Amino acid sequence: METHFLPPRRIPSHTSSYAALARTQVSNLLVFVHGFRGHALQTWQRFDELLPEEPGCADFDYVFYGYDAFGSDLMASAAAFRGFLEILLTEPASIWTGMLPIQARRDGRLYDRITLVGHSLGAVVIRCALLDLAGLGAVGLEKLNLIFFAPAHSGAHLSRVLKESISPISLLNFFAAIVRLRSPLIEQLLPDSQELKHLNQATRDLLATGKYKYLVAKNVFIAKSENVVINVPFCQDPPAIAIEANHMSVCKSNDAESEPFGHLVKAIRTKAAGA
Amino acid sequence: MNETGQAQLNLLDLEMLFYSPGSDARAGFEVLSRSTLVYQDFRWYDLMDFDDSRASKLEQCIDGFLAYCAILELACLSRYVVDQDVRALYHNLPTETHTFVDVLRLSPVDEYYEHTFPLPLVRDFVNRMIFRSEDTGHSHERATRFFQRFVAIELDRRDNAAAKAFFRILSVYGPYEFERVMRARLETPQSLVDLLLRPVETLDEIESAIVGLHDLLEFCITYDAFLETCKSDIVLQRAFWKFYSAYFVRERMRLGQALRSIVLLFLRWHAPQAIDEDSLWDEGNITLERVERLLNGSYEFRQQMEERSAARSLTAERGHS
Repeated sequence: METHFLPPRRIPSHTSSYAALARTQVSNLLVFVHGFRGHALQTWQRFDELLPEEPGCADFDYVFYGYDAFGSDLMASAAAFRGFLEILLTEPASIWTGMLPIQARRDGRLYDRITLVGHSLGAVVIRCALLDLAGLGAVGLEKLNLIFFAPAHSGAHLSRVLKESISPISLLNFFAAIVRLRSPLIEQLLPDSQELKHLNQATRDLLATGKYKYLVAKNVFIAKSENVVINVPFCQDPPAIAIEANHMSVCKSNDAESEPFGHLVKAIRTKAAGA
Repeated sequence: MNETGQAQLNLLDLEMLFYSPGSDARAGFEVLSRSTLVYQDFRWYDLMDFDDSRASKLEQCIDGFLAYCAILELACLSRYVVDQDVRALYHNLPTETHTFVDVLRLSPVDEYYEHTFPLPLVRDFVNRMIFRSEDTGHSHERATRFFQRFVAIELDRRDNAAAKAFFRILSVYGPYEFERVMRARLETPQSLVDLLLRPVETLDEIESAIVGLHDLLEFCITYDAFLETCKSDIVLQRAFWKFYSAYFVRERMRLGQALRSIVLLFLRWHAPQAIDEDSLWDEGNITLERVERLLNGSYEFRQQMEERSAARSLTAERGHS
């Protein structure tokens, strides 16, 4: 039985992003945010196919958010994601215009729960956007949950990412070792950067007030063979779970038995049961 | 929702993706449909009596309509949709209304998809609509997954502006001149990576075409891998290859030359010391083989067709003797 409209299709108002929408109106949303040099769908290899088929995961809409994760400034990317998230929180049906057959169009209901899943730089983009939203007094933030894979919020050496893959054409990857990177993000994600210091301090300040619990991640998954991000815990996040993977493969699955997929499913099912 | 409801929703979803109001495909049907009302004896030049840019747009719309018919044929064959739903939407209509088949059977249109720009799936679609060949679909879950994967690849291909730029430039320069220009621009791997990392809107026309050629190579590798995954169902594998076959057959020479030239260019670059030159050349040869295989359609379905043909010849020979 098909539960979602597949394959995921581009979101007309955010053309780097894709959505796999349920065939009936659902109250849960999962938003994936890729990392440095990532791609909205390819970063989360096969998640878009496997999740809709998984028991307990049918009553979700899935969004694979895309953005320029190479040339754009970190804060600019966070601001763009903040704008996207605001629409998802307040008028989600407007985003799906032109993406669903008339018979499956959505009414104006809001989501009960929105889970943001970030990989590497994606985790930082999510956190920065949430800080802004908290500062703006946005409504509905308490329905947010955070799940991170190899988050870069404690710093990263992004130049190592490209050494793993510069193109889906494997022939080109032979040359990755001699290619230079010129991206503002490389400095912005160094462990002692101004941006990360600010993110850490501002999050601490907000958490100290006793409100803003949604700024604490529910689950953090890290790679056992990590050579890109610094795995120092961030603020009040729970202890991380280590996955048999490297920085790039920590958020990819070949099948439903893959470790990253299994952990994600367990995390969202747990929250669904608790919701 | 039951299976019938699911299949109907699948069809409406396909219509939204490929045949929505304002799309090229719908405009193509509308212009052909209108022409049959205006001209008793429909001819291309009745439609082409305007400037080149409009003629080119018209061709794009007609190609869009024919591609939609071919996609419907693939959807029926994969049992993603049900034949009778497709007939109800596009074929069993009031007599005064033009149907898809009415338009597809106009002799100039027939000539176009049979010979000018062959798209054999359209003929299969016409036959399916007329002869009610309900049992030719492949009802298994993997067929649905194959079809969805095909749709994902096709949607990505349609959205790729750089690949369109490549074909524009190729038609202006030709493959050999384009190769010369490309070599001048791509002296090192760094120069290509810099291009790939830049936003498309900042690229000039030649740069877009180079990125387009890279994307096209990526498409070929992706589609070849996709066809490989379909080898358990050679009827579907053949049908999926046929969707682009006109494109591959018509462009084989120019496209093959351009794709070979970019792979050879990669191989001429100096590899990092850590890389074994033999591995680099092996990878280059594998890439070229995959491109050749796609352009020639050298997959399991072809092999089985040849075996059947050989068996038939043998039987015929024995019959004569």
